[in-house]
Amino acid sequence: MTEQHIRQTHLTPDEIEAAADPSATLPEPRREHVRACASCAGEVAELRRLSAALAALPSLAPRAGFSDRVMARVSLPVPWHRRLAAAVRERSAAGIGIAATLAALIGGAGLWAVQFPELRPMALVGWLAGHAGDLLWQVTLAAGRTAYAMGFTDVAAALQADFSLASALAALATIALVGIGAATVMIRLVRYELPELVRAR
Amino acid sequence: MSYADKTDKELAGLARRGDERAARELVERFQRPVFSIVNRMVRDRELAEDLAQEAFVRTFNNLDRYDPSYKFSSWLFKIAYNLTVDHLRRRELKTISIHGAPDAVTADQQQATSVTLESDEEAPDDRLEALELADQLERAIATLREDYRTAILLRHVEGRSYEEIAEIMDIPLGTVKTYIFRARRQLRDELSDVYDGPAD
Repeated sequence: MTEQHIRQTHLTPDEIEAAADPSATLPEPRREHVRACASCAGEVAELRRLSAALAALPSLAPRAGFSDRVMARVSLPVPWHRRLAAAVRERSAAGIGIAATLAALIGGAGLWAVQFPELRPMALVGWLAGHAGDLLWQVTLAAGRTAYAMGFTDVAAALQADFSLASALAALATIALVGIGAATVMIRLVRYELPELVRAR
Repeated sequence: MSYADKTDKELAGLARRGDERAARELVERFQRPVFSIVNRMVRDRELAEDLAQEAFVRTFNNLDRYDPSYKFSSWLFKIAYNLTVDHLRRRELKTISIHGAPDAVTADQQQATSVTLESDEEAPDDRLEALELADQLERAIATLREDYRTAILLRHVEGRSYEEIAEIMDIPLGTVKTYIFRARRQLRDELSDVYDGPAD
């Protein structure tokens, strides 16, 4: 396209927009065309007037209290510590009691377990690796023997009287189960949703 | 740094972590533009307020889906636009005059469906002239197809770029240009009486 052709061709819609926008730049040959062409100059002037009139349209405001009405319906993600605090506030004493009992059980069982040096974590892992197959049998045997002899009336005494590594591991398994239970309760508490947000939703 | 000094993106990030003050600041910041555009689309103040409110609620309740690489305002406008268009399509709104919906019978209905014009102009003559022009322009905008109307309002009233408008309306960039071009033509024709005079 020759420069003369560029000067003579009418502006495209994009070029009209660029010519009407003070922040945009139009190449000199095209600006020259606008100066020489009444039709294109008219288009540019009209667009400027329309843009100015549209930009001057008043901004409409909603009724007062709009943001309060919005916020009353919004349920933002709630941080875990606030959820936990609210759960403690809102939940029944039974729920908190169960969690506290489970936590005490875990703590007590842990204290009991550390009295036995052979239950140190690495030693236990090594032993488990060597005796995994035998373990299940020993646990079953110890549990059966205990149940048979004592009829579950004095399990702690039975374990003390008939202590073996297998019976200690059985106790650990119990502790683990209690731990899982406690963790489940705690997770439920942490994920607890604020009732006012549930209602809002 | 106060909440008013924070960027939209920073506020959206805080709101996402449960900061209610950040969310409130975003509502304060965008309530007028969102309400303005929705009101100009539906021509019913009460309905516009309900839709604008719903747009904010949906925006905040889905903050976990917000992609921070996009402008927060574009995302908010997109939700507001989709809600409004869905509503208009469900209810097939009739073309409404600036003085109220044609089916508004009582004075209350007429007031609820009319557009209240405000101007910050100081001089009474200028103010009257500005109000007349704005009134004519509002009437002309009301005659536009809803997608032309949205595109031109986003471009010239809200100052959005073509790319943002394409994102908000979920249409190709070329279509946005076409809509805006046609909307301007139609507005120019509607306002020919006003603009039949020498250019400034």
